[in-house]
Amino acid sequence: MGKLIQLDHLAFTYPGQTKSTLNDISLTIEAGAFVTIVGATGSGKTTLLKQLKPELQPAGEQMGQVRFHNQPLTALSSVASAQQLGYVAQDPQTQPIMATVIEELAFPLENLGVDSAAMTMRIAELSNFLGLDKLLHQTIDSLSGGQLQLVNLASVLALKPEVILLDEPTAQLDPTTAQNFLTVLQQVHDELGITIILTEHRLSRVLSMADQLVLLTAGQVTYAGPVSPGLRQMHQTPELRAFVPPVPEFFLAHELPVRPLPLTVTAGRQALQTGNWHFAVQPAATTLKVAATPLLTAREITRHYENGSAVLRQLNLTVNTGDWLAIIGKNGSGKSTLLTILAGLQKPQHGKVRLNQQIVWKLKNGERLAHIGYLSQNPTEQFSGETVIAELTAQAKLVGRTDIDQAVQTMLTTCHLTRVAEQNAFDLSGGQQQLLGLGLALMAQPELLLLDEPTKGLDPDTKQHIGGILQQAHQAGLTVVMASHDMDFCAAFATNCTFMFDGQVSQPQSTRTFFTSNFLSTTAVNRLLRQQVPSALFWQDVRLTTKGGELQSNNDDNKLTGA
Amino acid sequence: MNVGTLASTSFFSQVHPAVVAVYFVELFTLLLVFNHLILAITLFGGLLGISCWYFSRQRIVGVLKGIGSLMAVIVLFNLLLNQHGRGLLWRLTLGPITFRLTRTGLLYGCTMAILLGAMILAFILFNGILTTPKLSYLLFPVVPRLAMLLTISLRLVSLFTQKFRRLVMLQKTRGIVVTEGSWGQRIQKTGRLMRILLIDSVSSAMETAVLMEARGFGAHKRSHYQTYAWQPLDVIFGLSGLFLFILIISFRWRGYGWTTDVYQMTAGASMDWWLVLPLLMFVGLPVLGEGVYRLWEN
Repeated sequence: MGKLIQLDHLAFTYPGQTKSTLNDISLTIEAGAFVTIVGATGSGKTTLLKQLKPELQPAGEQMGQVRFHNQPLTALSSVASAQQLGYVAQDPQTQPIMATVIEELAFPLENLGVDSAAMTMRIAELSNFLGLDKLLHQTIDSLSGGQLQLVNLASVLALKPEVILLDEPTAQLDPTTAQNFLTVLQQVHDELGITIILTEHRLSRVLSMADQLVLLTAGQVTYAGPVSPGLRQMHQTPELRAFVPPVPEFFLAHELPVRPLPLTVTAGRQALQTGNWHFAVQPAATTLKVAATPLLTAREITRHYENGSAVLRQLNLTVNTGDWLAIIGKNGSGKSTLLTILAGLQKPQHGKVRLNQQIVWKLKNGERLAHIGYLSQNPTEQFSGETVIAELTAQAKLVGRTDIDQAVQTMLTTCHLTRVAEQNAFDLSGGQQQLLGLGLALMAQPELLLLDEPTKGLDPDTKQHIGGILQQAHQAGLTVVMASHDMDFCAAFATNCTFMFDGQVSQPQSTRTFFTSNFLSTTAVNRLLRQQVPSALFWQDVRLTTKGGELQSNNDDNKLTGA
Repeated sequence: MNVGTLASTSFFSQVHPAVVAVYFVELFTLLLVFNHLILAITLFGGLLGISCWYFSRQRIVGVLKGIGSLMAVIVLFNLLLNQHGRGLLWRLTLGPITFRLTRTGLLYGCTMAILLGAMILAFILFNGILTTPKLSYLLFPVVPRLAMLLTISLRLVSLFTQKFRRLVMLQKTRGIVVTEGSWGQRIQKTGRLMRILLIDSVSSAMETAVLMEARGFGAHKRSHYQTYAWQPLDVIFGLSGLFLFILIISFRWRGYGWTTDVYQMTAGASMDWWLVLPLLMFVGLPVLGEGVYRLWEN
């Protein structure tokens, strides 16, 4: 392997900012490497990635140099850049521009003037390799998020690039779809020898594929090298600790001397067996007592699309006051539709949803807002395009708060948005937008809060923060219903969980019962320790024992970890 | 109006886009050159039949309900405005105002309404068969920039529509309910929604533009992927359509199916019947093609 990309003392400052986003970054990326860049929100991951392709470089002041094949990147022509450096964005919807899959695959080839016969060969080869051959004539609009991201990857691959840059490519996908995408990516890397550079928050799967880990803290590279030592450094760095995936975190937190650190459940089980380590359950913490008064009831809900396909089929659900119910299911299982119906934002064709005996969609909008808070999976759809403070103030007025200024200031502080109070809501980072959305939903101090994928695309720290805010509101009496495919978040915070499948929900169970009885949909630690401690969901749930069961170790009380 | 696209296994959807385009040019021409009721009914009936064949009947019934009201309005206006026609059927005098229901007004109104309905059905069929990729394929050799612009616009319009629907639903949480309040308030709220939609769309469109550039858009003279090839059936279909079109137009050239003076209009002249069969054959050519295609199966 030779040096493919070199960054020499690279620094970058956005216009109008005094503090640089990237500071003195020197890094070498070998040809054929699989590089994962990890950093907290605002650490400069995306900015760094965008410095590696001329068309993506944002406006601002750049110092230092990026070299590609030992030539300055600036000397690369547009054609060469398009051909050799591919880029896949976070949101699968932003890249496609054509109407059908086959056209989308042909688009980059047409841009470079490839003739039709060569295009046919390239598209045939690519669609077979990536399993897109059955989707070729489907319209882009009809594809799921996972399929769309695969088409985006294929469209980039069509030009036979040397490097593919990916900016959190699985952030918008559910875990299974993300897993499938990453498997394809690994195939692309292993079989085609293409250099992969990606930024990611969910590291469980990615790290087992990577051969180089780059840690970025406040715009500076604090580590670049093999994965295992990098994970140890992450665990020692407070702002990156939450990013450590559950399996290696288990070994690090219990100070089990394993080298290299296991990254998968199978490797973890083997390490436990080799080390002959045994664990016993920790005494359970006191749980919140949940009242059994029904607050929200959904009866025989049926909702189908115009084309006749059913999304919800005679669905029944009861949410009691004080519940924190997590509805777990894949993308497209109907979770979002159910939540909008529960919120009274749309009506089902059949069935009724009642909040305290009142049908939700018959409530006046103001009345509904006072009782039910709702946060969409894309919070920008609930913004007005004003500054953060103006958005919160408008919502406080709308819901009839008398202490407007105080309520707004409290919410800014709670959501850590004071620093960006004067910024436009659309210019915030994804995590900040989610926090603002939550702040807007909580402004009315509702009795019921409905959350659609509240942790989608967020880094572990922001997840932890959102979990904390919700936990506080829940303890104050808020009932929460959230749709999510984030197992760790649901296991850490929800009191009850249910599965959404085939247009219906299963009988809700207490969170621990739900996750310990599940075989696949459970936490990584549960899968790791199932044979020893079936009730364990997190590393904090167990303590290391000797063969006699004597206490060996335990510490820390952080609950949610990177997943 | 769009009721879907034709199944990719159907004969008509496999015909070369250029042949299909010529067929529709001929069809729209025929819809413009006749003003006799018999022929209007023939064209409307033929198009209705072919639409039911290719699309879901439920959707066509939905479309008919939509265009039915439009057709009724056209008939009504023609009845109101054609007060001096021949053949008085009914008279109503209310003070100084006298309303005359004439046979000319009724005939002309019905003919125009039916031809408009037929035109809408033809457009639905056109949308269902000449999809964006086919249109883009046809336009690319002539106006490549327009072809690209058309493709991009259609994708963005689709995203725009989806986003607007979601905003209408989700902005209720911010007090924007377009179905509540006075008309003034509703217009104001819709304006606010459009503003949010614009801000959101511009920001994602800019990202899309960067990603287009990242994939080499504008870096080189573009080529075009040729997805369609000529087949013998294209020639047979094209020539059959052309033959029928020329035949019908030659009849029209001799004055069949057209009355220049509105006051002379009748439901149809006896010689109009000569045109019914060729017209039905022309409109039903795709269905005839389907039959031949199926007979041709191994």
